[in-house]
Amino acid sequence: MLPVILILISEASASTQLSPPKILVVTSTPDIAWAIREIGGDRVEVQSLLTGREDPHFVDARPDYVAKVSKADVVCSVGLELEVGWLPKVLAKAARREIQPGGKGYCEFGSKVETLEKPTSPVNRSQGDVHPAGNPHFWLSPSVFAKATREAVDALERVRPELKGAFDARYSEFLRMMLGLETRLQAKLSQSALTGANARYAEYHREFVYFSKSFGLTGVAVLEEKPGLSPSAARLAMVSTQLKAEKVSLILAATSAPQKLIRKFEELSGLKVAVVPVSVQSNSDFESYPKLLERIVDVLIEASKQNQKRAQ
Amino acid sequence: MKILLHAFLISFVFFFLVGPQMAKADSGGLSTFVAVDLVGEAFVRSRETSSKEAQIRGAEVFFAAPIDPVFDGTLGIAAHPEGGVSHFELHEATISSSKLLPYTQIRLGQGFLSIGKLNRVHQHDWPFIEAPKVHTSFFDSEGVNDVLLEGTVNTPTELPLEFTLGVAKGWVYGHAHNEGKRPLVPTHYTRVQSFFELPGGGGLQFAGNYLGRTDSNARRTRLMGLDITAKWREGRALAFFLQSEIWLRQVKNPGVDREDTIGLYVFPQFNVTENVDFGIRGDAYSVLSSKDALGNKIENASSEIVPTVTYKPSEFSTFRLAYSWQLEQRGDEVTRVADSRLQAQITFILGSHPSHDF
Repeated sequence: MLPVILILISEASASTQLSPPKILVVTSTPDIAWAIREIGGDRVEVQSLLTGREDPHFVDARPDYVAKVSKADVVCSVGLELEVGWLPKVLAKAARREIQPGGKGYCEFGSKVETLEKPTSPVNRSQGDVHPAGNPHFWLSPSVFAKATREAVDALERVRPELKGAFDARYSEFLRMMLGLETRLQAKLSQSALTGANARYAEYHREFVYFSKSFGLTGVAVLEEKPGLSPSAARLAMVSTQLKAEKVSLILAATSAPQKLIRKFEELSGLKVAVVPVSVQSNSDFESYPKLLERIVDVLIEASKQNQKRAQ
Repeated sequence: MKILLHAFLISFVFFFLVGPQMAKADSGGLSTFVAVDLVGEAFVRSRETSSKEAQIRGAEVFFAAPIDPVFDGTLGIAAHPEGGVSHFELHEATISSSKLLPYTQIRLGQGFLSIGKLNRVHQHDWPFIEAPKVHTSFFDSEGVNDVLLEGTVNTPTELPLEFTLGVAKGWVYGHAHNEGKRPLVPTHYTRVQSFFELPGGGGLQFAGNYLGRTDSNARRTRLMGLDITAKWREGRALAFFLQSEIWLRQVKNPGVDREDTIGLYVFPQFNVTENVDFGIRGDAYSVLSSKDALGNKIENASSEIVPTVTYKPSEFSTFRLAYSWQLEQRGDEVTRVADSRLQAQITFILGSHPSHDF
């Protein structure tokens, strides 16, 4: 009887033995949340503080962010001072040693990026809201974003070293997928009108630098006179004149850009601005990163077609 | 005070003239900011006060850095004019840690008590120019600053909860230029805060507060209050903002009836253009226990209406205009405009990026 009881107890404990708990990851943006879900699979539970509809430069250190971060095993951010206004305060209030900068559960994607537009001379506020470490909007380039995701892999492996092999394998697959995405979209764009002189564009804020480098576009003007500062009517008029003189009709703006100023520019210039999402958003047509990039490319191709029709 | 001035000047020279070169070698993670607050008044109609000439209401230098892997330090020095002369004061000198106990920040040193809303925010960061009467009466014009030991716990729960418990030396309360006297019961305070997300990406933060002390003359003071902050952002603009506090103060002097006073302010603000906001603050203040010689209650109320226009070309500067009407009502007296004035303010920040507190 005793051996039967012991076997039953052993079977019961085996069946109730908990599988290793998931790594709880909190990210600043939904884009890096998506990437970490791809890498981590069912070994991670990922939450993004932002929904993708915000301007990540101008977010408040909300108490619910503190509550989420305080439960995290890993906290990941874009970095490059994109979240400098709010994330440090959230991390400090969460008061968890492991997820503070330098802690094993802290990761900053931007640390793995060879940034573009890194200032070569000292910066100060007279130049606007300049990021001293370079342009932080790297996630719009699939290849750059994929390489930056290595930072999250390193963090996951620090927290759960026994899963190193599994995370490395998934990361290799993720890299292949992202490079394949970039190649596919490059081909789509090369077959559209967005080549040569038609591949020149203007933007509201310098957030398409990495995207344009990946997809062969050329930025020629920025509506903001200085980064982070709303353009004046004179500035809008000046850019409008420049674009008409250079026969550039493709203008890009993020959905988080001030729409009143965008409409004002359209009225002044007679040009249509292509407003695109620049971040993954839940409950939308671009809930995943590939869908986001496809949406941006589709909007650009359509905008280019419309511009050609107007020109004829 | 001269020593403090010399220390400030030496620090200024070091950090802004000599410092930048040395900073590249080893700044130890020091972050520094300077904040300047200029105010002025005009078109004053008042029986009691004259207009403030344009003046630097405050010039503050603030340093913060990790001390070592466990502790952080801050130092804040501010200059304020008094009697036409700028006095330098120590606003903050604290050692703190968020790494000793999980979910807990501990702060020790001199600083503003973490109670209410305005008392926790630097004056140059207030969303309006002058403090409402409830704040100047209950907390002094700039706030209650003291040597304190304070702990704040942010619970890792679905519902965000933040508990603050603190005790301060209490020899003085509010602004003073003397040492004060040992209180019978030191200043002690607590704050419990929570937060709700609101539709459209907004948020509402609300908190209950309590402060108590008994001074050396056995005067017992109790403050109980609620503070609310609500925000909705659209891109970088603050589409709608609401800040409000309501406080009840009970003061009991030995041998005298308790004096109860209530005060509140409500400040809603709307974004008008990308860089311009319009708000209107309403204040109310009443001594609930006011009685005449026969012991009959005297109805009384002070109120203030302050429409305010704010222009922020960037996060680092503010230009503000406001017009204040103060109304008084006492007993059967008809409410009258006791004071009206145009107020102006310019603030700017140099140095480190300020944090976006909620």
